[in-house]
Amino acid sequence: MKSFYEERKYLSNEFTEAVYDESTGPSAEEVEKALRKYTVDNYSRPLPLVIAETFRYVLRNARIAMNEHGLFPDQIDLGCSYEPEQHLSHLGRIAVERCDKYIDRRFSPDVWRRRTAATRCGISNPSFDVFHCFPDWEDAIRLGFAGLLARAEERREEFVRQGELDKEKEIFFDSVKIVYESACEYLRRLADYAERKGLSDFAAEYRFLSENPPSTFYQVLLFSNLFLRLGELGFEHYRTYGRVDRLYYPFYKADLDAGRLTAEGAKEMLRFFLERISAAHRSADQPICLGGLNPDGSYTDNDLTRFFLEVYRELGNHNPKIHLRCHEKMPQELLDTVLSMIREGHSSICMISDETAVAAYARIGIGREEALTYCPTGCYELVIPHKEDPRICSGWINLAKPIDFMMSGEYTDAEMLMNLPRTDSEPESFDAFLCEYFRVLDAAIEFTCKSVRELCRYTFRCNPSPFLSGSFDCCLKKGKDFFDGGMEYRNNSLKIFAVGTAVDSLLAIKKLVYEEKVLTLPRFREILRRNWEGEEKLRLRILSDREKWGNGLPGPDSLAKELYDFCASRIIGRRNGVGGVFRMGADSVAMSEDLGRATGATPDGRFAGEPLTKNFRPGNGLEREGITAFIQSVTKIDGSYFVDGSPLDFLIHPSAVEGEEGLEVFRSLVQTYFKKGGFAIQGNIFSVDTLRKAQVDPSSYRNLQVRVCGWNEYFVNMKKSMQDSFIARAEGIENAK
Amino acid sequence: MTTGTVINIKRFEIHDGDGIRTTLFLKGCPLRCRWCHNPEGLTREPEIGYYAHKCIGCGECAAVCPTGSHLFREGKHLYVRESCHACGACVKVCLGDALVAYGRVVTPEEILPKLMEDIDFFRNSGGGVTLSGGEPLLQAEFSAELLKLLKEKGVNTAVDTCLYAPRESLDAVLPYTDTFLVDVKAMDSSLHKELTGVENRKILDNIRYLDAKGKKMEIRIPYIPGLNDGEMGAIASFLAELKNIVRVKVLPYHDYAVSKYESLGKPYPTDAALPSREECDAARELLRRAGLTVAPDPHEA
Repeated sequence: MKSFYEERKYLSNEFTEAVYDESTGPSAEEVEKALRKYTVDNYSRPLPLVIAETFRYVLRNARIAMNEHGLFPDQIDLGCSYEPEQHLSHLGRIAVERCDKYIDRRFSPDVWRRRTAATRCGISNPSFDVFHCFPDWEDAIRLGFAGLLARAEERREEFVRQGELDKEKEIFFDSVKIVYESACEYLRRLADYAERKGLSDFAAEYRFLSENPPSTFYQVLLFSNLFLRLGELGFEHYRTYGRVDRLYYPFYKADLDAGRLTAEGAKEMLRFFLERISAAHRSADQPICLGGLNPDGSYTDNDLTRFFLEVYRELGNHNPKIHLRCHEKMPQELLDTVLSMIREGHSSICMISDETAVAAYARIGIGREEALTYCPTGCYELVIPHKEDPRICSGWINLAKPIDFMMSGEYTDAEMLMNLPRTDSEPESFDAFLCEYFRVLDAAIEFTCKSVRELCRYTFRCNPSPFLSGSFDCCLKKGKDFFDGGMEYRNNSLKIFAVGTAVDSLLAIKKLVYEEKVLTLPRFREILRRNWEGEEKLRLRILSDREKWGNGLPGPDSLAKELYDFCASRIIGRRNGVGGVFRMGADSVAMSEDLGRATGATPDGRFAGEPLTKNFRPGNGLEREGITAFIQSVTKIDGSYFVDGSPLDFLIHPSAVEGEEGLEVFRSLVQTYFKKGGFAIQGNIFSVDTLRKAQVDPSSYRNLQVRVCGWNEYFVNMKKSMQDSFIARAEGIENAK
Repeated sequence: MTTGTVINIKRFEIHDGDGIRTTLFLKGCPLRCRWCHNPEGLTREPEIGYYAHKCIGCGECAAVCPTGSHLFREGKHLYVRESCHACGACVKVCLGDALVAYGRVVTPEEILPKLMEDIDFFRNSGGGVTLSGGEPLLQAEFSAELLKLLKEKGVNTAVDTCLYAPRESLDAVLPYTDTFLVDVKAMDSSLHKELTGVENRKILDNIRYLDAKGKKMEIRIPYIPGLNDGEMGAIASFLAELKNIVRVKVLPYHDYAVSKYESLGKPYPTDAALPSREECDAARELLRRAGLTVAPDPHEA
């Protein structure tokens, strides 16, 4: 076996450039055609069964191949190119079409109408999230495919014995059986094929895993890889490999103790493992989680925590991304390693505070011990493994839109959507204005929660997930799908964003209309309606005012706190109608652009249609007081509101954190942020100069990574407008120095 | 009531002493170093900085200026410094951030809360507040009072000074200062006068005085090729005799302040070349050999 670095050139693009063996089955187009026909022909049969059967069809028929350069050589043609944003399999595409149809005007006109109107006017984006879930990694690894199948069969027998196996449960168990049987069968298929190719060692491993749970470190890596790929073959998005340093450690230790493996050997395996994750080009990056407290509050990390970091640092990929669970008990040397990596440009690492996570879970009634089992998924959203279906992207609410409603006077959408009568009288004071703002915001929350509840009903109907459900004992014990209430906690989440735009806008109104009285409200309305036309001086005056959120100033900070306190009181812990509660987050992903496009000019100086402020981030060029002031602003908002993440996005100039002293500074920034109750922290360290050079000379900066939201992009691959936005922010910070 | 003239406050300052610090820049300096990178700190009187490249030609400044010092000729902004009283009215209305006020008068009590805002960061990083400038000892009474207030709040304090100050001034701040950040520019007194406008005897005496008092000092040596690069050996010998030097930093000359000089209508005072990294490393090595603790080039680590 050649070393990883000798083989790497054959691995980095192994998905995009895969050549599948034509002798092993029909082409992807033919498979897709067959799948579509099967789906249509079986339209009247229960969907879980159709999904399971099409799943089986793919595993039996799709072309496969073995990349003999890899340590994880199996390849299967799922009809996708694996180029960025092109990772949906043929089954996935069919599922997306089905989901779209369910919220289509023909199927559910009311839901469709309200959802479309909400997005069109930019107030919120109620959605149903089937994109963020992950299997019960612990049970999957403990039992293997065959063991999961056997357990599902046992649970079915229990229902049979008690005479409780109704039609729905029978369908559920049948579908689980089909997918796990096909998984075992698929592994045997891989084993046979590997043998045919003279890869007998691999053949033995696949054959072993077709009957047993993984028993060695290599097997657990191979298994996790296979499990994730099979899950995603359908429309189950496994947005984390879980707490890999803990999950894989017993296997590593046993191998080490038995003399089967050396530390160096384990690292070499991890190189292949991580490169494979990178090669799949998962959009928004595939997470792994490292570190963190144990449920009893003790702290342990292990060799694997360090090996993962070491190998990750060496490879320089941004996929997977790393969620690092942090606590003050974590050894300083480990934190320093991570901070050094971020300093070097490995910005695909997000640090999350265990203590804030525990406090956040306490708000929705989950105790410390259980909360400490959490694992982040997606960008920064937390999930209790074994138990929670979090629907972390159920909807976004745009904090700036109520101002747009009030200023544009166009309440039509608001009235229609939110059943919100307009008030005829002009607010006579800023307090009255704010009162009206909260009335509209409240209605927006009501509306969004209601829409999410309606939409949730469709999740199971359009995307039952037998493979995912089969990994959870709670689903099996209930005989119910993951998306049909199989999980113990069945929650929803709303993300509240654009705090910068909202606070700065409200304060502009306060100052200009009610304090300095240089404008009347109707005049300000007129100016915004005309999108600042002919009012550039006024716009610049507003922009140059120092009173902006994100600078540690009491006025903006207390207003931002008030906005989130209000949202928290309306959202967190609120019943969602399916036995769970709403959780809250503050990240914006692409919504700052999407809902920004639909938001008119705002009083903070923003033009109509421009992006709203992202995550917990002030507007570009408005961070005038530096990172400590910024942290002060963010931590004024209670970090424990956000089980769904409230990332502080830092952008620091390299000179601030260089050298040994710089590392100390960086460390104390992060530690102080966490001590002040901060939830998660991530960001970029670069100068305007570097970004400008990269823009004109992309080939020399091919590897320059940029933290975008909860994921990274290569700067040179980003569209120019996005590059410009990063440059603008960096410029704002450098100019403030 | 004691007042001081200050330029600005900079948070997250990490090169002015230990940890994360907030630095208050005071206005006015007795020295005229040829490489000075804070020209706005030289005179005690308030000044207006005008950054022509940022001017958007809005004319707001002209509309509020009581002395008619902002003129617009054919759309071009002309700032007449001679007639300006630096009242700052124009700065408040400038829409392009092209006008900056350097210098305002405050009391220690007024400025204290702003300096304390990052207290959590000070505590976690071993940082605190640094008084810099300009020359804090030129406003010794104000500085002493402010430092006293900071010490009462348990804040670590540092004073960044050239030490060209009467002993009384030094004694005034001494009890409330944890660390002195002291510039040593040249040992040869006549060269020192040539480079900074004053002789160095008073400075060296004050350094010895602080050392005898057991005060912690961080020594900063600006390194300007062709001006003081021949002084390193003598500086090393002088410093080697002292007992309370916690760290020596070699600060390579840079020309970042060119635009600031322009904004103040002042000629840039030197045509010195930028030092190479090797030159600065050689100076660091020389100091290290004299038994001093020398901070590495920050880019290295």
